[in-house]
Amino acid sequence: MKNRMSKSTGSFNGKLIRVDLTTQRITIEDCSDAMTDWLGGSGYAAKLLFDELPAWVTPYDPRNLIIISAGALIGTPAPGACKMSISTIGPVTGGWATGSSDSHLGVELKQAGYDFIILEGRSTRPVYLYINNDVIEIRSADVLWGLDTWETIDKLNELHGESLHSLVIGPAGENMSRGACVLQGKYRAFGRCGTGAVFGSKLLKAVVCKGSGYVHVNNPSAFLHKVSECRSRIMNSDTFREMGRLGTVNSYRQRQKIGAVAYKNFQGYQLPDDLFESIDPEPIIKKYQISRSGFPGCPISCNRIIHFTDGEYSGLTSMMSPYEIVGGIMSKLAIADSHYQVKVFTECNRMGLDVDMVGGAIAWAMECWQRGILTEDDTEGLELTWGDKNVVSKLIKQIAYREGFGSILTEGSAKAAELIGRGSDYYAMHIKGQDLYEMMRSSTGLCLGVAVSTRGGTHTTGAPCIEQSSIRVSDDEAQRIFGLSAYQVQNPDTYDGKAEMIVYYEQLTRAINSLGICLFNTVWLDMNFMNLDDITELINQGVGLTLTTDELKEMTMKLIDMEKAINIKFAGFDRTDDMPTPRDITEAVPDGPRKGWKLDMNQYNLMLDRYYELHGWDTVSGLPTRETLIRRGLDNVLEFMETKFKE
Amino acid sequence: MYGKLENCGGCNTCMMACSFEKTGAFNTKASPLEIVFDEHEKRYLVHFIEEGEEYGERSFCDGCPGVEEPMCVRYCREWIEMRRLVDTYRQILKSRCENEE
Ligand code: SF4
Ligand code: SF4
Ligand code: SF4
Repeated sequence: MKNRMSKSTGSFNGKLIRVDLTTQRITIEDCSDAMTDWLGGSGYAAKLLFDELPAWVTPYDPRNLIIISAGALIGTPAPGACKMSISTIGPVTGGWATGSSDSHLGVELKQAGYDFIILEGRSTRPVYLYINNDVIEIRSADVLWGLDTWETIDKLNELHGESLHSLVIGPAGENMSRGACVLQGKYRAFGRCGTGAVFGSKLLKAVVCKGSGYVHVNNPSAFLHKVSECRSRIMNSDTFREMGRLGTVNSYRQRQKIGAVAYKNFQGYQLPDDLFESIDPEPIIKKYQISRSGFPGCPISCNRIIHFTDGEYSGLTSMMSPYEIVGGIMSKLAIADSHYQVKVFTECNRMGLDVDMVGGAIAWAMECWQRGILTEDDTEGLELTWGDKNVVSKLIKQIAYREGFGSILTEGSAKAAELIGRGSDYYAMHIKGQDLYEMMRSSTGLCLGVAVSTRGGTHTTGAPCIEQSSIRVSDDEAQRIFGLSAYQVQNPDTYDGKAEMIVYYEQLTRAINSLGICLFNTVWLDMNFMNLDDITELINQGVGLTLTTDELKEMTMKLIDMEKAINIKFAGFDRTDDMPTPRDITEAVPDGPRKGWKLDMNQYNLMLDRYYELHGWDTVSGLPTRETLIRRGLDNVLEFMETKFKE
Repeated sequence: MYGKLENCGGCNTCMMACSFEKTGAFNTKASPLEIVFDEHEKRYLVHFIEEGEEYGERSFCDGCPGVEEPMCVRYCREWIEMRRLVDTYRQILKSRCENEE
């Protein structure tokens, strides 16, 4: 066997590919400091976006950067180390945009010897980027433009005569729908934030990558020992078994029980029994699953491939829909046909559309129709009746191609409501412009975590799921991980301790997003899964750093400051943007076991104050203070803010 | 040898682990084990590369003699089934050896 191993200190390559699509210039740059100062991945992407872009850059400006990163642990068998991220200035919020996805391509990129791809400028013709170890080329995508994502992948494989891993956009990205996402393969998406639209704005259709080099770790025996220990903790749990059995939809019954399934654009928090049964994903999995689908390093493998052998969609092979489809489209739009969840997931994937945006925008429109705010005059004759799956499928196409009423929905509910007016903004359920599937009145911690998310409403940047889980957290576990009691961690109604829990999860998510690890392999899902101590150990043994957990936490706080700084610079967000939606502030929980419970805004504001204090941010403005920026070495951010606020 | 693993999801972790066993670093293209997708059956198959089948960076699987639980087994979520496949493969190697003797 040939041996092409090179001397290295760890699994971070310290190299990035920079591609200027305007000049077609490709350069390889050293980025060794990216790991030690910014944890690599999305952390370093935030630094680059802030440092390199002037404040006037808007998402579709050629100057905007697309930063694709394969975190330092990708390419190793660390649990869940397969999440690549794409970061940019995004069209949904106008500020920090980042999305992650399961990825085989990340392993290829690491094996090719790189950690990042930075794309800037704008091509004059459709192109795709081809990487095969040290061969890096911008190639014509004329034959790919206009194809949906599945057709694009098939065509790419045909062109190359082999099955390659690729990132692609569909018609939604080409037409710069704000809900456009980038797909990794046919089924996994870099969700939310509209990263696909930024690809489209640069006429970039795809990125393909092949790599055949070696990924080293700094201390192999200690690293693998830690990996095995974490794997065995994960695999010896009920959570592992449930995720293995049903994937993310395993929470459907529990959510219905506690009243956390959105019905008709959050008008209800619990589904009527008959609708609940007719959406139930479990029978679909039992009857039609043909194989599991997993990603490098992940022991959980929560995805599965479905093949319909009968019924309306007979012959369709696709991935089983994740919970976002169940709670964000099926229940929210009241569609009583369980088979359709796979179909609608497939339609969104083929168009390259983010499912949360699709669910959010259509739910807003259907509620406006219900209330007479929208009529056939607005919708070009379409009747937006709850539960009408044919209308939903039609709208998905219209959104992707910017046709008919879809040309309004394609902006997402927040901007669509601005365009329509007539009081429709109250029904647009979004945070910072990002459509929600998260139920902000279902628990206080989730509410705070979603509201303060730097990329706009989302549950994966600090919001917990443990408040709503059927797993009981012990006092010992709560104390060990968060320094809180089990009551503080799991009681959905208390405001006490929630800021501390959110900050812990923010630190965790920034660490794992930078390293490329999946959230489901961590204490986000189960208290026995990987925590920040485990992550610290993996970084040290894998990359060769010598961090303590507290030092890692402090680094992640700097990353969050930087995300915040991006939002200040490009979107102008402050404390007023960290609030729940007007509906969530005004209305009580409508039904279910917590019927009548209402957000106490006095308590919410105190919780938000506490959250800002933990970050070292000003409680009035919600922005990082001078002292905090100096302490974290963010002099350039300080300089920017002092100039901005002097004006 | 091609083997079926009921719940294999094509995560490729076994390939990473196996490549480490053989080279001391991770490289899915240098593993004597290959996970391939059977388009017809729509499922993943485990391919143990046999002597004479080597290509690119891939050498052949020697069954990791003397290793009680090979890396490919240790890092597979379906390790019980994977061990069964490795045992079968080891049997084949053994019987070939015996035939040659
Ligand atoms: S748990 Fe699911 S989402 Fe996470 S890495 Fe594994 S397969 Fe992907
Ligand atoms: S038995 Fe050894 S060489 Fe063969 S696939 Fe497993 S780890 Fe690789
Ligand atoms: S580790 Fe196991 S489940 Fe994953 S690809 Fe290999 S054989 Fe399949």
